[in-house]
Amino acid sequence: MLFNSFEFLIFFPLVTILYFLLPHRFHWIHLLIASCAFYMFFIWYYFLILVFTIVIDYYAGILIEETLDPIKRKRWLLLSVIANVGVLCVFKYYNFFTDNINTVFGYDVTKGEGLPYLDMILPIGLSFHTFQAMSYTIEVHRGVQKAERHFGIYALYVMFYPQLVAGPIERPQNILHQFYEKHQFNYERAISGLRLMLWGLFKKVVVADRLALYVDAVYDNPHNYEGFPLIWATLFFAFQVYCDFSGYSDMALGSARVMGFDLMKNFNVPYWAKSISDFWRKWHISLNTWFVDYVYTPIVVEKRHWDKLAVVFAVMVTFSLSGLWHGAKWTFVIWGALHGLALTYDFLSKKKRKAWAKKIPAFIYNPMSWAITFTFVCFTYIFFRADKIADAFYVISNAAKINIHRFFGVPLFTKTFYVICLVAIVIVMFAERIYTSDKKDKVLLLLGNKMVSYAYFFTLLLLIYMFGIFEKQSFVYFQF
Amino acid sequence: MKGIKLIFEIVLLLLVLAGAAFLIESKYSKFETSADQIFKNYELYKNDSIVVVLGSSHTLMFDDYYPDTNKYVVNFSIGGQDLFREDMVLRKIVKDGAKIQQVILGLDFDALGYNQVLSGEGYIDKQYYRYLDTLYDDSFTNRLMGSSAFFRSNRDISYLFKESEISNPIKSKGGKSNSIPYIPLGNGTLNDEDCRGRAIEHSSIKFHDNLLHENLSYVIDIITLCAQNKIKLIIVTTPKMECYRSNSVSANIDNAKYLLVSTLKKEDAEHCYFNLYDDKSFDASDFIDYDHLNQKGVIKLYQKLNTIFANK
Repeated sequence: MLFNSFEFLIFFPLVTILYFLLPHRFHWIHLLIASCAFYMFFIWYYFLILVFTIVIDYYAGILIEETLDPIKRKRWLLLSVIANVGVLCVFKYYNFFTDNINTVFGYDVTKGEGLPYLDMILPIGLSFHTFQAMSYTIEVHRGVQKAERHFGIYALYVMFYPQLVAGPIERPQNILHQFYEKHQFNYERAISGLRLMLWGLFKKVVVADRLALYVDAVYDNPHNYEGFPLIWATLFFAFQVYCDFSGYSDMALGSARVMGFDLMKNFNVPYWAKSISDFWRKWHISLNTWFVDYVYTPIVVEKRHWDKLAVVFAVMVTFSLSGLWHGAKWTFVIWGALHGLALTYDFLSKKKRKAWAKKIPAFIYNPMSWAITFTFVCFTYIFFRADKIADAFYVISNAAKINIHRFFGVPLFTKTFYVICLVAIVIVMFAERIYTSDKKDKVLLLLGNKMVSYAYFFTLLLLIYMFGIFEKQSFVYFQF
Repeated sequence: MKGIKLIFEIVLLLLVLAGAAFLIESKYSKFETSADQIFKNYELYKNDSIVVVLGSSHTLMFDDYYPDTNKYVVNFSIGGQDLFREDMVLRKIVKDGAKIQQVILGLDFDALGYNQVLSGEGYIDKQYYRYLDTLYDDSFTNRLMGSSAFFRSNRDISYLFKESEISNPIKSKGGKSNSIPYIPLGNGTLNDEDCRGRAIEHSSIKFHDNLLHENLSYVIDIITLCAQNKIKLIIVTTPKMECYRSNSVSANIDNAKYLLVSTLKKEDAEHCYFNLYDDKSFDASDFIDYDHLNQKGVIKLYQKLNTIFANK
């Protein structure tokens, strides 16, 4: 079920109202059934994959806790990791590996040579729930989290519908205890959750889906364009992917908040970042911290005798894996590796940049840092969005062929389209910037006013009604 | 209590929003779409013996210059129309029991890889919903939008501030030009750059390989419908200017052409197909722009068809 679907419009109030009407002891089963229904709405039998990993991780967690022998504890952890990564390898990476093997050995699949491909649709949100499941067994193994004995609650930890298919990737310490807590209806909380949901929906259906029309037209056939259309499409994609994914996260956080749950924040105005490390502290926070905790830090600790090289090595491994997490394509690996390189530069040039910051006036240094960071992020999106590496290189080598007479060079789109898109982008960027600045309290105070609150809801609903794109548009991050 | 208060507030807000939506709906109730005009026109001729033209902007003038002036020609062409809708339109009028003598189907090669909804023009699908009771994306949400005057208008916000309705007058029965006029690209000023853009738009940007077989099934359906109802069918690929042909993605065009010809052969419908795509007898003076014939061009096309018929 999509958050931006008609079905969800019925599902959400029904589940929420029932949640508050039911006695506390039935809350977990109610949410579990709702989450199952939510997931099975896509392809019902993929639910069995979830059952498989849930059962293994549940027992692995208990066995890790009950076993004192560190080798055996490690074996149980390994079993859990293999089960989750195995599922990912089969369903997400099998065709990628097969394709590479067949290419390297020059097999012609049409002649029955080499490894066969699997014809299947990627289970939705697979990378999210497998990572969330792994974080549970890793935390139990580290002794930070107690093994969950209630099977239903553990299943709900993996399947909780607001964050099941596109995160945030939660940690057991943050969410598990919340399923035991009694959540009574709280008016202010509900309003705040609904406000966030509506903002997320606005970003998704008004901004992201509109930009997607342009981005898809160009990136589906990049060889038909040069100059401005390629630049516009890349710039628009930056905001499309942000509004799409952060829109989903807002709806997830909002819908959970209405029921009394607190999910971790996934975005913090990333496009205002002034360095790449700053960007990664603000973009897809739940995934980034996952990689830092379970990949980067262990490598740095393990290789600490390498000194600075340990950090460089850990960054490169972490970000290449992060790229691969996003998709089974070399374009994603390159995207991740480019960010790894930029972070390495960030790390190695820290002292030098501090010295520059002292010499150059802040009003020049800060906007410059922002512009360089944002331009780099947009540049890497070329690899993120392109279907093939060749397409990405085509975009890079032809984007500079600027022809001022073809400023609006895509025949399907009018000048009004560009104006609407740019206005929408500016609204989103500045509204979120203000909301996350020291003016947040003032904004909240203002929104606390009944009339302002009504105006907020009414205006956004009206804008969604008048400008939203409602034709079956899935979320970009569902494929990851 | 607070929960009931919230539900009350949400209901109130939704009622206000519904009120706003109702106001917008009533403002748009007189909004006339191309589909409305076409079906208004069809209503005039419904009980007569008619010639039906199905196609896109390339066949818009096919009613004006139809050689036999004693026949009523009803033109269902709309700019950017796809084969799915052409098939649905024919199904509807056959079901209505219209006395159709002949169907002229304008069929371009690039149309075989094209679908209006998938090319981001799903609003036209909604405009037809009222008449065809079917949608390419037949989801519940889309049906709801198809029933709304506002959504049918492609949410044309400028209409909110206009006094009069947008409409082309429907000519009285027997009058000329009952189709929607075509506005040429660049108001008639031609240049190579625009021509290239147009060719690429049709043969690549809006062309999807995976639609070829689906679209051919609509062509087969039209052929079958005509055969079953003893309707004479003419399928014609209209001429295009040289710059348009040379800038089209030849791999896509050739593939579509091959599949079309082999399908027509299989359906035993080769005899009713006329390919004038690269007919050398059409020169620049026969075109409004790169891919649209002008009055002279349409007349020449009909003469050409007559000659071919006579020779057959």
